[in-house]
Amino acid sequence: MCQQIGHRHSIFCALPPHLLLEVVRNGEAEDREAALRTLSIDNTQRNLRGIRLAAPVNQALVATVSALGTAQGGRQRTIYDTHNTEILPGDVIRTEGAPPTDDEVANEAYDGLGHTYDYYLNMLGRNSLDGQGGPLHAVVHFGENYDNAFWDSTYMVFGDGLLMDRLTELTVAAHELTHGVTEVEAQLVYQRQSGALNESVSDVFGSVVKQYANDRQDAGQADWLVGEGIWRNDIDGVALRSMSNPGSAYDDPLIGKDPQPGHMDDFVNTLEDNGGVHINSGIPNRAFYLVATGIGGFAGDRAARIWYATLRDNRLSIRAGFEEFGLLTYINAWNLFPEGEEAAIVKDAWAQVGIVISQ
Amino acid sequence: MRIQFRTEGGIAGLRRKVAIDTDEKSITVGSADRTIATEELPAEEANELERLIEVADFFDLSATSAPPTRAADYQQYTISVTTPSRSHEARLTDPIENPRVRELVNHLNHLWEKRIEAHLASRRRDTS
Repeated sequence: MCQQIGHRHSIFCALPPHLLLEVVRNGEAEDREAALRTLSIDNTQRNLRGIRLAAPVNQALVATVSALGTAQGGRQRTIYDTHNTEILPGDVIRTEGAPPTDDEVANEAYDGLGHTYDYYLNMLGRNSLDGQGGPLHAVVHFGENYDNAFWDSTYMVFGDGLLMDRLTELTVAAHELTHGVTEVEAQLVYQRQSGALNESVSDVFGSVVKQYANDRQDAGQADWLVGEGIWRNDIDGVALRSMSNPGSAYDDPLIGKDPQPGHMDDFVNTLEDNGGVHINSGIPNRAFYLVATGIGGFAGDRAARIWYATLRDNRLSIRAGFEEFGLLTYINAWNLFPEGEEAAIVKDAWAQVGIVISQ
Repeated sequence: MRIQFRTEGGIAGLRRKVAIDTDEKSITVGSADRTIATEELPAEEANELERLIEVADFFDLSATSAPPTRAADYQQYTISVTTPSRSHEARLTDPIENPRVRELVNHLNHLWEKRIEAHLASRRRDTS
């Protein structure tokens, strides 16, 4: 947040948000301006010495992009089929604007790409994963009985599953695509806490895209399940993960019990899974759930904007831990909603999962 | 020949295990730190496995592959093979590009899947 404003660089960097607000209300003109800039209340989207701010959606941009259709810069989806091999990307089976095919899995992937693109554009003003209208690719029928979906940095890749039978479910699709956004904006290293944050950000936007597709569902009504219905019928599980109640998604001797913690006291130290990136993501997941339900309304609006601003905040280091991320969500909540309760709700949410924000 | 195979990572962090002894003709499959089944390994499966290990030049594979830098939710596989004269461990990541190594991993997955399906079928019978 620190910005060089003549000789006043250091003092404005050091002031916490509530004091900056005081200066905005009662300070001298020059000081007010400096404090305002430091608080980043300015609504134009700009790059201040490399500090990018989340701005309210530029409606003109949304209109222009929507009108582009299949022209470059608009929504451009391509679905591929690897026919149960692992040779990427496979054959093109559906392109943007083409009608549904006989392949339900391919159609679900196509729709998942569409909902994800639409959410990012309409709610956050972001044109595709790279922010520049880049194409969206999904690959289906990867491998044999492949119980997984992954992001390979170009393609979103889905297996058919054996113990899983709904890998193209919307939250999974949006989760994978969001890895593409995180890669561009934050490059959170996929290990340990920064990796768990990377995973959590994908779960957050995965869930929010599903709620967006459900008519901008209220946070209090949403199920907060990632990969709901993903397990086949004879496996005892409702989802891959629960953001509201980490650790409750499944419990079956064949796959074990959902290992996610919901509080720092239960943080899992392990070398597996790149240091437990899919496990400890439960903690920031629950924090977001608490923020979203605390603020109320559609989570993809205010709560998600705070998270999106944090993701794009240049102060977020690529190896950030939960504490650093939490602090930046608090600061960005202040930036975005200086008059409201959002920042307090954010601080409280992190406290409830065991992360104390000292500000 | 003793073979150990495990998977980790992926969207669900599933941890699968297969332990095989081709001399004793035994296979044990597990999931999430729990043993699911131990049984006799048919000779054709044992022979096929040894053939695939040979064809994949397993003992010359590098011990680790660099993890993908910008990918996420990929699975990782660890295969270790021990004979009286040598032993080797290789760690691999999706997608496996070498087709012969891919075939070996597929075969190990099939060995696991077959026992898991049998286990699920008997579980259904027991509860019906």
